[in-house]
Amino acid sequence: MTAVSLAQVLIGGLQAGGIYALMGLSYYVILGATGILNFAQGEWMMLAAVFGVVLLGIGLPYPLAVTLSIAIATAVALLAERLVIRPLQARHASHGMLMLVLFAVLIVVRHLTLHAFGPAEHQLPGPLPERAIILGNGLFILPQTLVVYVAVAAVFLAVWWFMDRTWPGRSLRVAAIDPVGAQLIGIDLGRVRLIAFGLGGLIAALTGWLYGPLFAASYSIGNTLGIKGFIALIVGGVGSPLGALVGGLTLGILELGAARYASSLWSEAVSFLFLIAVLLVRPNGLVGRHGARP
Amino acid sequence: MGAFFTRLLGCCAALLLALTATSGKVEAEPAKGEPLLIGVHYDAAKQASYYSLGQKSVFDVFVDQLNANGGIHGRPVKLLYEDDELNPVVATTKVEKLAGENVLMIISISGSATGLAAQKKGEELKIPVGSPGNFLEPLTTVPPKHEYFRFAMRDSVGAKALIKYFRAHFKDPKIAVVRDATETGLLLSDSYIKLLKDAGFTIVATEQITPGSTDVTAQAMHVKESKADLVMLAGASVPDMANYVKTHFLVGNKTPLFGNYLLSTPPFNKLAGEGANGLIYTDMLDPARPEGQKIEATLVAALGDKAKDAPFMIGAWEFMRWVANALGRAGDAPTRDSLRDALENTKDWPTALGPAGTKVTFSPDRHDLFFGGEEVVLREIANGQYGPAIKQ
Repeated sequence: MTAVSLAQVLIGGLQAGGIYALMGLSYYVILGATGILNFAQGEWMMLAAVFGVVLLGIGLPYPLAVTLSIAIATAVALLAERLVIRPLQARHASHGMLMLVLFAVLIVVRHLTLHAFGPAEHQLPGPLPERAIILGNGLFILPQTLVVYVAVAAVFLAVWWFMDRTWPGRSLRVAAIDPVGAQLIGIDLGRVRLIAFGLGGLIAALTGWLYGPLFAASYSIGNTLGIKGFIALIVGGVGSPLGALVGGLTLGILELGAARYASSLWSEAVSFLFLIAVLLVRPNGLVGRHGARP
Repeated sequence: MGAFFTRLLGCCAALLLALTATSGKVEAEPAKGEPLLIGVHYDAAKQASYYSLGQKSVFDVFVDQLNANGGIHGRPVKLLYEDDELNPVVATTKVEKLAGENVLMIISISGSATGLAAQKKGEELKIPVGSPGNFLEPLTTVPPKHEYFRFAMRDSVGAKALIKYFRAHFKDPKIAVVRDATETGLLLSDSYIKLLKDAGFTIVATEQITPGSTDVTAQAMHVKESKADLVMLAGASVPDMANYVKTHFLVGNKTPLFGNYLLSTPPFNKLAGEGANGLIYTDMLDPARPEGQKIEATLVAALGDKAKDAPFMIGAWEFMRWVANALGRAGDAPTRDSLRDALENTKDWPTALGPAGTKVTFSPDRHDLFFGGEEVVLREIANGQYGPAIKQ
C-alpha cells in the first residue's frame, strides 16, 4: 500500500462519498422533518441531469441550464408533495402507504422521462475543463472532483445554517423532534412538509450536476445513487445531517478501498459486510444517537 | 401450375422489396386486405430499452414503407408489440399471448435472457422466433433449435474474430478483462473469459465495475500493475466501460484496448473521450459499404440523428427485410411452418451486414448469420469517432 495509491483511493472515495452524502442529506431533510421516506429522491437527481442535457442542447448558456434544470427538478418534487402526499396525508394515510405511493411516483417519473427523452445515455459537461490535474507521482484529480468537494462542503454548511439560523429551518427541526408540540406552538406541518420536499428536491437536483459529468445522464441514473444515498444516511445515522455526511464518506472510501486493496470483484460485498458489522455494533449509525427520530 | 406462379409472384415481390429497401424509387399500390401478423416482444423501459426501442422504431419505418409499396402479395404486414419488461417470465406470457393472436412469427428485440425464454416457448408452440439483437451464446445450439433464427453477433463469433486478430498481432498475449456487474455484463464477460482461455491465452486480471461508479481508478491501477499486453472490455454497460477507458488513459496506461460489439453503441465514443482513440471493437457493419449507407440515410430521414452510427438499427432493418423476403417465399397464404421453412431455406441472400460480399445462407445446420467469425467487422475509434473497418 503506497502513499500515492492510498491518496488516490481517498481522492476517489471522498468524491463518490460526497455524492452519496448529498443524496443522503436529501433523504434526511424529508425523513427527519416529516417521517416520510421518499425513494423518488434519485429521480429528482436524474431529472436535473437529463434536463441539463436538453437545455444545453438547445443552446442555453451553462449557468442558465444549470439553474433552470435544478428549478424544474425541484418543482417536480414540490408537485409530488402537493398533488400526491398532501391529499393522502389529509386522509391520514400511513407512512408505509406514503412510501409506496412515492415509489409509484418514482416509476412514473422514470417512464415519462424515458418516453420523452429516450433511453440513450448522454454526456453532461461539468463547469470546468475535463483534463485531469496531475499532482505528481502518478497522482491525479479531476476538476469535477474539486467541484464535488466544494459543492458538498457548501451544501452541508448552507443546510446547517438554514436549519439552525432561519425560522423555516428551525420549524423543520422542531417538527422532527416533536410534531404534536410543533403544531401547538403554531408551526404548520403542511408547510414544513412542503419546505422539506422542496429542500430535499433541491439538494438531489444539485447532485445531478455533480454526478452527471462523472458518469452520464440518462433516465436510469437515479436508481443506484438513490439506493446508495439512503444507505449512507442509515449507516451514518438518521438523526442529523452529520449522519449523512459521515455515512456517505465512509461508504465511498470503503467501496474504493475494497476495490483497490481487496478485489474489485468483491468490493461491493466487502464494503457492505463492513457496514453490516458497523450497524451491528452501532445500530443507530456511526454518529446516530439512541432514540433519534425516526 | 397456379401455385408455381403464386410462388414466382411472391419471389418477384420479395425481389421488388429488396430493391425498394435500398433505392426507394419503385412505386406500387399500397397493400390492402387481411394483414400478415408478426409478433414482437420488446423492452419498453428497462436496461435493454436503448436498443429495443431503437429497433422497434426501425421496424415501424420498414413496415410502413413495405405496406406503402404493396406489402407481401398485396397484403400488409402488421406488427403486434408486447412489452416483456425485460423479464423472462413475462416474455413467456407475452409469446403465448401473441401466439394466441395468430402471429406467423415472433421477433425478440429485448434482452438476451428474455430472448431465451421466447426461444423456448417458440419451440414448444412450434412458432418461428428470430432476433436481430440477442447475442447470448446459449441461444445457439448445434444442431440449431428448429424454430429459432438470428442475425445478432453472438459472443463466441465476436471473440473468434478478436482471437484471430490477437494471434496475428501479439505473441502469446497476457490479457486483462474489464467488465461491469450488470447481469448481462457478467454473462458476457464470463463467456469471453472462457473463450479466451480456451484459445490458450492467459488472463492476468479480471476487474469488475459496480454499475454507476464515479471512480474506477482502483480497477485501472490493477490492470496497469498486471502488465497485460492488451485489455478486453467485455462489459455491457456503456457508461461504465467508458469510465474505465477514461481512467485507463488518466493513469497513463498505454496498453491497447479492445471491445465487444456493445461498444459500437453511441455515445460510448463521446463518453470515453480521448482515451478511446485506438480502441478496436467488433461490429456487424462495415461503414464503407454503400448498402449500409443507404439504409442509414433512409433511417436518418425517418428517425433523425438517433439513427446515425447505430449498427444495431441497420441490423434491425436487414433482419426485417429478410423476414419480408421469407414471407414472400412462404406462399400466398403463409403459415408458421411455411415461413419457418422459407427462413431456413434462405440461400445467398445479400445483406448490408458484415464485410462486402456477405450473404445469408441458412440450412438445417445453421440458423445464425454470424457463424464462423469471417462475417465480423473490426473497427477502430479514431479522433473520437467510430472509424472505418480495419484489416484483420
